[in-house]
Amino acid sequence: MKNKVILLLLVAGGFILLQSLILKKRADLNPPEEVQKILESSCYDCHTSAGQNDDAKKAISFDEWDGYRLTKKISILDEITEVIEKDKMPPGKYLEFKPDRKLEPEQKETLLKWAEETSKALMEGN
Amino acid sequence: MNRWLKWSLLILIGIFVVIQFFRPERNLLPPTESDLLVQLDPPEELALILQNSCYDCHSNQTRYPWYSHVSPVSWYLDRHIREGKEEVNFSHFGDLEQRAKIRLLNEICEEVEEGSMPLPSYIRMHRDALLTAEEIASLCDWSELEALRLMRE
Repeated sequence: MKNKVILLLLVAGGFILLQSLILKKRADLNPPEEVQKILESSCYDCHTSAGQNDDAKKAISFDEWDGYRLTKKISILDEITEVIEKDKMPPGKYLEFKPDRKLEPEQKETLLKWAEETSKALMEGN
Repeated sequence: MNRWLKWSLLILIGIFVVIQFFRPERNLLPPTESDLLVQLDPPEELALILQNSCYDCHSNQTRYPWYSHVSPVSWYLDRHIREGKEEVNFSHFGDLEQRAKIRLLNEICEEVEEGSMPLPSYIRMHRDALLTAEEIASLCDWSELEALRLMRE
């Protein structure tokens, strides 16, 4: 019985550790909380390295942000702006299953502003 | 049977002749100052690579081969050129925002590195558009440096 409890604790501990590692990895991008929430709900299902869709992961995995070259980061931010402005993301197929993930006009504004400011900061920081 | 064959052949030839009158507009606008080659002035060999492997579909100056004057091939090429220009038009590079320029440079490298560009169908007809590993590497080195330089502007 005692062994079982210890095992359970170990598994739980490992699980928590893993979660925090994943969270830490995602925190690399470090956007304001408001942006982070939008990204998590409307983008992360496909655009993290744990995603199922290879094309989506290749286009951008947000958890690998830190490994991207500076020019790639700016390139991605510009792409974010484009897909939001042109209503290409989240894609229609995804929204069929998760209609609540559609970006509201205010959410779009928030993301657009963030993408522009971040890319400016990156360029100036260089 | 023989007569039937003769008539269908005549009709086909007739259709072929008629469609020759439906020609898409040529993609041949005068060069501009905002062209990537003018704006960034890449080394000669890279400028040649870009013109040779990209500019037919990604600029306002297509070099038309003889068969491009024959319909329906002309229609097929016209669609490719329109789609290519919609995606990226090097002739308008100078009009882009700073970060869009950086993205374009970054994507030049990514596309050729992955082998997505030039299109395999394009390479079949333009053998010289095929890029060697060294050419891809120098294109990528250049585009990265240019992108970094643009950031400091």
